[in-house]
Amino acid sequence: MTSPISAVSAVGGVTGVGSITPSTGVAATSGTDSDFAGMLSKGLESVQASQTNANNLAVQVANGTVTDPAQYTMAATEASLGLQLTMAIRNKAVEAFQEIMRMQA
Amino acid sequence: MSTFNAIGVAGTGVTVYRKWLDAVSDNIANIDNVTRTSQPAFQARYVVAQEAQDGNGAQVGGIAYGSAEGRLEYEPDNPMADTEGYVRRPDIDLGSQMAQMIMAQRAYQANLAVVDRARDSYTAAINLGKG
Repeated sequence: MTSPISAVSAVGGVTGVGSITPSTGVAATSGTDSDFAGMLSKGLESVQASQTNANNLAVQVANGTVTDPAQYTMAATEASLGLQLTMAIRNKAVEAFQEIMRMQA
Repeated sequence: MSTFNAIGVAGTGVTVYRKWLDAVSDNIANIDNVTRTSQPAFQARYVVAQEAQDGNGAQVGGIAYGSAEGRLEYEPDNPMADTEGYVRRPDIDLGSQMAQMIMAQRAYQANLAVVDRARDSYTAAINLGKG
């Protein structure tokens, strides 16, 4: 019983990423979904949704309303992959930014 | 469905086979039920699997029920027996249920293996961008 509960706290902590979503403001200023900012904000929204889904399932597994624990583990896997993808893209973006900053010398 | 579609699709399969396992366990749990001949026997549960409506994976379309007639057995000592000494038992074959259980269990595991492989593949794709 303890491991699903500790999983709850771990996933709950991760959802703090939701605070990044102000980047939707960027999408609002730049418009369409086809540009990079729009795609990024859409991606972040989908990551946020999968985190919320995993979080809800974790709570439901903990209190016994979900009959199939595999549902939760799969949602958690999906959320974790989404976060990893977000981090990979973020690191690439920061890398590109730093590369451009180094150009001024 | 989403970025990591293979996981979601395999997840629908996991759900279908879990329900099949539930149905089989229900059938085995009730296999020895005895009813009076004036009442219906326990009806075996069969899961109807079909393609999902949105085209992503599988879903359970409904439950089909076996015969309510069951088998009449001559057990005059049974307190449930009628005046001629017969009782009604469900017409469920334990061997067939066991075979179904093996199929459902293996297919459940196969779907989880798909989830595992999909996760490995997606992780490899993400790691490609980290270089």
